[in-house]
Amino acid sequence: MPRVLLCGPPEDRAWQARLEAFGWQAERLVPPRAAAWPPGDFHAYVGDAAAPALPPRAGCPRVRVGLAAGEVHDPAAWDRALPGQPTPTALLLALHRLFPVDPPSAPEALFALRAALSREAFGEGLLARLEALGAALDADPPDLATARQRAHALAGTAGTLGWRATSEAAHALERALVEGHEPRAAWTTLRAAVTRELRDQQPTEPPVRVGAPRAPSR
Amino acid sequence: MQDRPHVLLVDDEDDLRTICELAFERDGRFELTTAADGDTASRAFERARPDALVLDVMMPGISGLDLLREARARWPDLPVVLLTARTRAAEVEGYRAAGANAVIAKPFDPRALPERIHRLLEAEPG
Repeated sequence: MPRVLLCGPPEDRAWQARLEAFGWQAERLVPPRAAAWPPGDFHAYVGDAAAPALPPRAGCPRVRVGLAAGEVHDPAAWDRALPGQPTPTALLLALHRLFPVDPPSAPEALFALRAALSREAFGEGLLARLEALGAALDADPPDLATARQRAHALAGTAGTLGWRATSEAAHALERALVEGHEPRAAWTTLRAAVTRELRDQQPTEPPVRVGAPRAPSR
Repeated sequence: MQDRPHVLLVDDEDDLRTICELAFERDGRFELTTAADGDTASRAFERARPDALVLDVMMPGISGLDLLREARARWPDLPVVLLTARTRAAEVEGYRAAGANAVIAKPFDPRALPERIHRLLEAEPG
């Protein structure tokens, strides 16, 4: 099972929780007093701007996250760099590409893991899709054909990925548009469904925006 | 060399293609390739005959129904599954008339898709 050493901002506890939820081992390094490799082997070291650049180790890529705009990746100190500040899901996806987890009960467990990641990745883009749909409805004059197409696509994909309430509400909005009804009520219902599912389905996700500047954490 | 039947899935939704790829990988019985639009699928038709097709009905540009008609003209016996959220009786009747072997209503459980393809291939004459 991959074992990862984490050294990041306060929210790296969320990284740790997400990795462990999927069966990884994640250990936190707290600098500066522990600016050296802890005992044992690791499959990867993930650190942000404040993390110490530990000496290279064979078979253990040092992955730097949180590169600021204009900051140049230093390949001598870090083997790889991920742009911006990854959410726990984005971090897990990046590490999963480095070390595909092969649980004992594969392929069912592997499918469940990767499907869950796909589902969460879809959730990360859900608000943007909602905004695009709202923009079509709010256009002057309203672009009802585009709104209908976007509602249709959202209904089919969201439901298949497990976002049931969003799917049903998007389907109701599409139906209202097809039948020529005033879409505002269905639109309001859809927004509420998305908000509720995002809140209920991802309770541990911290509000970290990829690439957003942040104050030094220590 | 390819031992497993080749399924071509066409859907403009990235996330849907991804979850279907995972489902086929889990199933293990098929070689799946995907296309994001009708043009790409049409070019794939030129290269090789797939063993089965899975088509999203509503896509920008060339629709799934357009692709179905193109595929039918080339390969009358090719199993074709349509994915669609439009499943009123008259609509489904239209899909069947155009040559669809099966219609799966969106949303659907992606894990059920390989089994559906398997059953269609089992039923295929010859």
